Amino acid sequence: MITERDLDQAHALLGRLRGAIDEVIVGQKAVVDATLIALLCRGNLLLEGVPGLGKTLLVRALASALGLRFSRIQFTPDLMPADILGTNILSEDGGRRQFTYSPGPIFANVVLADEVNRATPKTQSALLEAMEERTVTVGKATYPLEAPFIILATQNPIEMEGTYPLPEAQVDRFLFKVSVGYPSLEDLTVITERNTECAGLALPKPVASAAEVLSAQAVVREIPIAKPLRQYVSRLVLATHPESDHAPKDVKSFVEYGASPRAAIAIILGAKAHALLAEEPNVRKVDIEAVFRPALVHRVILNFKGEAEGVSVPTLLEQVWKETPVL
Amino acid sequence: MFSLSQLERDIARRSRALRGLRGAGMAFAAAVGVVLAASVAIRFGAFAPRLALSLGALLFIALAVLVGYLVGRARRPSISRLLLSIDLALATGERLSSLHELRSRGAALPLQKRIEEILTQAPPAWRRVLRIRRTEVFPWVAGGVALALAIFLAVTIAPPVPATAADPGEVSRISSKGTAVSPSDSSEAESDGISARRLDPGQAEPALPLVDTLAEILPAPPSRGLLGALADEEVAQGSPPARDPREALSELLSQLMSRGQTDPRQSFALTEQEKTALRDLLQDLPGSGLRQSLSSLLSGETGDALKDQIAESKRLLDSLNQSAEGEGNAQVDGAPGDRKTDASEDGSGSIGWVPPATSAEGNTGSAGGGERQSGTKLDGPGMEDELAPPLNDEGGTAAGSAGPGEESASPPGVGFVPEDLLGSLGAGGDMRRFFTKGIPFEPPAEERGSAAVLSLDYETLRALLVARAVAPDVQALVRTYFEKITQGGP
Repeated sequence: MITERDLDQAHALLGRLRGAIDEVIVGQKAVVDATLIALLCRGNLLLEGVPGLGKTLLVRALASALGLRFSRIQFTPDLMPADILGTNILSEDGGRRQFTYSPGPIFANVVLADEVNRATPKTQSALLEAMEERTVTVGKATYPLEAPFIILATQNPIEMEGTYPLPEAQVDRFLFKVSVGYPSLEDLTVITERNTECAGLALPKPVASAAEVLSAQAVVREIPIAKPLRQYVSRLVLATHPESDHAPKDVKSFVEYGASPRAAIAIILGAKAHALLAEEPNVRKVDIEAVFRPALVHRVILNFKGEAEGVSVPTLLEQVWKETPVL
Repeated sequence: MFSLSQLERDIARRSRALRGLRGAGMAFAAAVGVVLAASVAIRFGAFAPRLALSLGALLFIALAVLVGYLVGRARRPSISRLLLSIDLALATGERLSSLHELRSRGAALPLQKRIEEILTQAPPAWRRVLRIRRTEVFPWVAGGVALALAIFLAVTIAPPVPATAADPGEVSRISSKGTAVSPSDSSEAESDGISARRLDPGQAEPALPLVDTLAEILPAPPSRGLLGALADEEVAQGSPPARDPREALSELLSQLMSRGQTDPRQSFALTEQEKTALRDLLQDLPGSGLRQSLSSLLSGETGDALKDQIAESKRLLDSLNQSAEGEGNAQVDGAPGDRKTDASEDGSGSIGWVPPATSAEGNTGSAGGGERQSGTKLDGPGMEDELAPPLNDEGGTAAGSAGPGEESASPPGVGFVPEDLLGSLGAGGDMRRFFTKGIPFEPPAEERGSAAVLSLDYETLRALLVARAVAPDVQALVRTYFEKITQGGP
């Protein structure tokens, strides 16, 4: 049960975080919002964009603003799971040798998995348990991850040579997939000014604590959503399934697999977090619309025909959105 | 303070009323559709209109509306959906539906409070959403239009037409084919009077030789046609016109001849009443020959001598009438083209029947009664053929055993006037039926060869007329007609 104070604190926290990130990141409001929403929803975020757009900087700024433990893992083809999760090492304690667990970089509050698609699927799969269960199992021991925990992964969409597409199971564990676009002319001008005039780009100072983040995460779950809107979200997700009666014609033609139930959860949780970000006391249709595409775009798998004809998933999602009635 | 409970009650009440209205509208439209279909069926004669049927239709519609309203109202609306629809329509940020959700969960009081504060500051005008829309109005409008149409049909439905009435198509067929009438159409034979009245003047053929023959023996105003003149006279039956002495004499002589034919006794003599009438007429008659002949009738002769004297007097009178009417008949006979033109112009035509303005029902009834009397003899399949003289290639009839010997009894050109004729029609209506059945439409040229041949000769017809107690004048007229159309032949 949340209180008025919790609600006010959550609003205040989000305001401070946004302000802190805005000191470093110019523009990219949708990306920043998606990052904050993922944080509030206890989710993970996949950022996709060409190099140099500030993906890594965003994650670092968020971690810095949160004042939480941050770790960065640069994924490369030779990266091993133990390099991420940690491993048991033989140690000597008072003449007695024993295996002790040495935690990997995954043990942090904010983890940046940079260019995650460059690691092998085996290494990529090392993140699965951490992303979903917030635990790490090494040998026979399972170690919980400290809350709040969030993995922010980045991947480059154009340098596909030597990369390994993420397995569907792992992709589905990302709350959102956000494409980071080029900044606008004004934003780019400000970016150049900030990076060339001053001594250097300073990361923001911590403006939040882990407790405040956890409290905000609890508030998000209390944000009400009307039952018909919840049904609407279910219909939206079902409409991405080619075998569904709710599916538009193109979905039936070009989609192999639709979104999983995680997508519906992601939409509703994301909509709640979006409402909290907007300081609204309840979920609105616009909140659902704001998170609908990033929550589904990586969960819809095209079939061969769709791939061959170059069908874009965002276009299909647009059709789903337009053709699914609220009531 | 905003009260969601009150709002939910109001919305539910309003929604149920609207659902009831929608249900009632749909039921109304459906019921009116049924009634309209019934009206159309009545219009096309599927069943007869009755007052009870109209009242039942109104009751049916009212009942359907009531049931539709109750059924529509009985459906319980989903409050959360209603609230969300109001939210979406009014762009309230889905606060009403979210508040409903929060209250049903009984949690998140701070959020509930905030939503209520917002709603208190800007109460949603939900009545704008739950108003009567086109979907509710359309069934009523459609049903109203259909109902108006049904009422229009009910009001404009003609009174039940007697089963004997032939339809216009049948009448047209009769007028164009003449004797070729469907044998099975007995109702047509029963209501030839009505059929004749319904003849389309545009489709009638006014220049028919046989009709001209009728016009010769029954002179009628050319502009109205023969039957038109008869109708006019029938209208004026209430005040019979002053009669010409010669016409009265002719009628009297005909009656005497008729009586003489039926009385074979040698003691056949004039009654005192007949003698008195003859004396009265004798005073006004010109012509010494005729006066002498008539005077000899009063001399007390009996038997065949009296009959011969009567026939002689009749012949003299007819000759006198012929010479006197020469000019008038010449006007009729000499300008058939004019007659045709007039007939076609006034729309009645020489075969057209102007419906009498009065006593229409009486005529119809009496005609029907006459048919019942005649029974199978007149209603048979060949009735039209029997009474309409078939035509040979020369335009004459193939029937008729009226031999030359009978010509002397009724010489051509008897010259009946409608007044005399109508004066002896009586109330039976036989005359009219006789005339209408006897209207000799000419078949089209290509059908003449195959047209049905009249098997009725004059003697048969005369027996028929006698059996039906047709007045002697009319019998004489028929005979003259037969003679005219056969031009003295068999």
